[in-house]
Amino acid sequence: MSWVENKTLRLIGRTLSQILYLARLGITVEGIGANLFRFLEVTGGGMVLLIQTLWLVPRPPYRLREILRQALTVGWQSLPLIVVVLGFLGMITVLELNFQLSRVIHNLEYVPGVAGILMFREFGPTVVAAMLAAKVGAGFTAEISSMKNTEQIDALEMLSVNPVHYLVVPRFIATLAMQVALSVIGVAVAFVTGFLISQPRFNFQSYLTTMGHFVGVEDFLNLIAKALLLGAVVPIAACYYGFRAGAGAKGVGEATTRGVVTSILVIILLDFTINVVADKILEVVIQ
Amino acid sequence: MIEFRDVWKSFGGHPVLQGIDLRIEPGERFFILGQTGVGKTVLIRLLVGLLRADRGQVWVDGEKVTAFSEAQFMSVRRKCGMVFQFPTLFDSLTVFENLAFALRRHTDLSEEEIAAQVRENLALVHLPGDVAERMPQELSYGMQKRVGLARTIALRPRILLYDEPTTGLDPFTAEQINRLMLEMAEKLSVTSVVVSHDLISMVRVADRVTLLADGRLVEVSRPEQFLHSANPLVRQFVEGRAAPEAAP
Amino acid sequence: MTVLTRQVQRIRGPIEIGVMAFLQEIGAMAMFFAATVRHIFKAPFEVQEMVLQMYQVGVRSVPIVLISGFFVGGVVVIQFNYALSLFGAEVYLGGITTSGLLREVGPVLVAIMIVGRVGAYITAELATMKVTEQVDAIRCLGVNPVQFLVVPRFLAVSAMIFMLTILGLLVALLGGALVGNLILDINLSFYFANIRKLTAAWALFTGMLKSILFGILLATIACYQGMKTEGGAEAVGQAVNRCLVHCSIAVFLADYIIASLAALTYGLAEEIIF
Repeated sequence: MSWVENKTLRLIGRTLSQILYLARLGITVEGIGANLFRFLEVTGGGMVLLIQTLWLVPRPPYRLREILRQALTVGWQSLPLIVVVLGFLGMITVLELNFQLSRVIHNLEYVPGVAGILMFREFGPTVVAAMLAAKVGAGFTAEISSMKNTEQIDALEMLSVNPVHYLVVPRFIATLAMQVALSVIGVAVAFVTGFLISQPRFNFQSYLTTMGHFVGVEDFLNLIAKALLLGAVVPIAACYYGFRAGAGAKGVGEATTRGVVTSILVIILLDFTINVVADKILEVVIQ
Repeated sequence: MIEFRDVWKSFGGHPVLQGIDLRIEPGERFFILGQTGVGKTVLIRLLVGLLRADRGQVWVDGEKVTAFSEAQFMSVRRKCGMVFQFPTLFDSLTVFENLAFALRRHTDLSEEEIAAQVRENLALVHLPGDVAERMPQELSYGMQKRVGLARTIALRPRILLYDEPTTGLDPFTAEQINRLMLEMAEKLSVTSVVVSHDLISMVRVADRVTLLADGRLVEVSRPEQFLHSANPLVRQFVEGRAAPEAAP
Repeated sequence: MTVLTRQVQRIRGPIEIGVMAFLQEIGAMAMFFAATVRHIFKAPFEVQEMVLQMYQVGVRSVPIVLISGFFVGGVVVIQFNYALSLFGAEVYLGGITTSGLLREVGPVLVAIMIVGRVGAYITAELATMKVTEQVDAIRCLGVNPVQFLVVPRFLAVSAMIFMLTILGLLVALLGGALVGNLILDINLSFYFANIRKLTAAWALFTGMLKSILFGILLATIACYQGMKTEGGAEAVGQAVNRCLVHCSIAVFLADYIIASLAALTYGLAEEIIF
């Protein structure tokens, strides 16, 4: 189109045609088919890796030292992050509940109780799991994908060592244990910061008692159960994408991104499912 | 054209260049040889400001670039094209867009003129015009390297810096690159500075050659003199012998 | 007592180093941010690159934001229903869920999801370009990498996070209502009855303000971590990891600051609006 002399106009034209071209890519039949296929492939692959790992967990050799080393790395490295994030979360929850409850029940006495319920049942386990996906999961993927790139995984297989047993099992056990520990620590930190920000309305004694009225053993068990279930997501997704990583820096980067996104997405979905199932069970029990 | 005056550079307390003095004349094809990791690449990176010298002066085309700011280096970089060891093509852009990258940003050419330029540059590196619409990762490694060279010559630099151009290539592809280096020097009348450890490439291409060892330049001579030099460090490098203290 | 003093002495060194490193990092990031903003107003503006990034960051994150937003809404309604049932205050479920999602849970959880998708993507891409010398190649072609790479990404990410958060919030509200209706058997007219009363425009405004701030923070951190990567393939993974951690902390910190500012001002604001 030679009549378009203006450089800006041509730039806009090129940009528009590019948008149209890009937008087209997302909605072709093949595009949807490929996405669906990839979704099934990833879900299936992840499940296979999970089953493989669970199968290999009780099998010797038990590499206790490696498990402890991983647990130390996972726990110690993520502790500052968990403390900071859950600390803020505790304060945010209390601030938000102050606002909401003042309008609904016109009473701020029960804020510690509701904050406790929300922390134990929901935000404690999910946020800790999401933070572990970011901190630990991304680390696992980066580590394993660069091992794959430097052919270390092939070397393991040549020495007839099962890479899943050697690499995934210790990380799996360590993350699971640390997820539980960090969830408890995180909720404790959130409790402390929540208490600090509700000054001077409550003293420590009254804050604790009010919370005790609402939060029972079943909420604590809920926390542990959720932590165990959600904790399994991170190492499996991270290691899965690590094993699948493409070559070079680009491959490592993409694998890490996918690992984290998948982990957080699965955590949200799994958490929702647990809530729905728990709700149904509660109904049955009440009836 | 290019001059190093007593240039020093160290990384984390580890000295890499210890007083480099070198003069490269216009139109020359100059080779800097040396073992892997002695800092040959550092030397040419100093020229375009990707690294800065700790001490000493670097002159390019009568300008002292050592104290240049990043913005001032932009003009130096248009004069000095750098051919990286790996192709470093922008992998989100097509070959055409890679080649048009510098033209669109530094010239007022129309789209038609840019397309003509891109075709011409592809022809200069002996690639067919239909490569332009492909993505870089669809090409073979040797082709990617040639596209990288075509991108570098887009602004018609007067100096071409080659970083290990033939390293890791099979002899056939390496010979193609050697021929391209000779053609570039002739057709575009550029000064070529090549960092390499490939003696065959050196014999094919070089006018003059030097050896970088222990942070200093050992000898500057013609290729045939270099191969028969009596200097022990040169002999070690040419014959591929280990350093005396490491020998069994 | 002396044992304690000795222990304090022993951990003081690392803590001082840590604090210094932290301050240096913050300073470097602020300078990076300033440089980026300065380059926004310099010609030429890379329209094509920005469109590409808006597609990569925005359009391609839509499915994930939709899915996560919907289920976050569902989770919140289930938990609020439980909490409110303790006071027999289920009447307020719709209002509280909507207000809570708009003000707090929505922006934060959608932001965490976007941190994983967008932050990691931007850092990984820039870090890859850095370690494969593509950034050096850009400099050698006489183009400023901040202008060509960082500015388009910064603007695209900031704008797209804002829009993705709006999208996520809408879906979360839908998810809340639907899950409340289908799983908890709450009548929808009952659910919607209180929304109008308990949700002020101020809640929406708080949520929007948060998403804008998160967008700027995330864009800065992701680009900064990508551009300062040095080394090989492993360094790319580590850069992504650092980006995720810093972004998460930044999101919760910013959320806390806005929440406490909102706590100070909401009474005033509600008086103005109503």
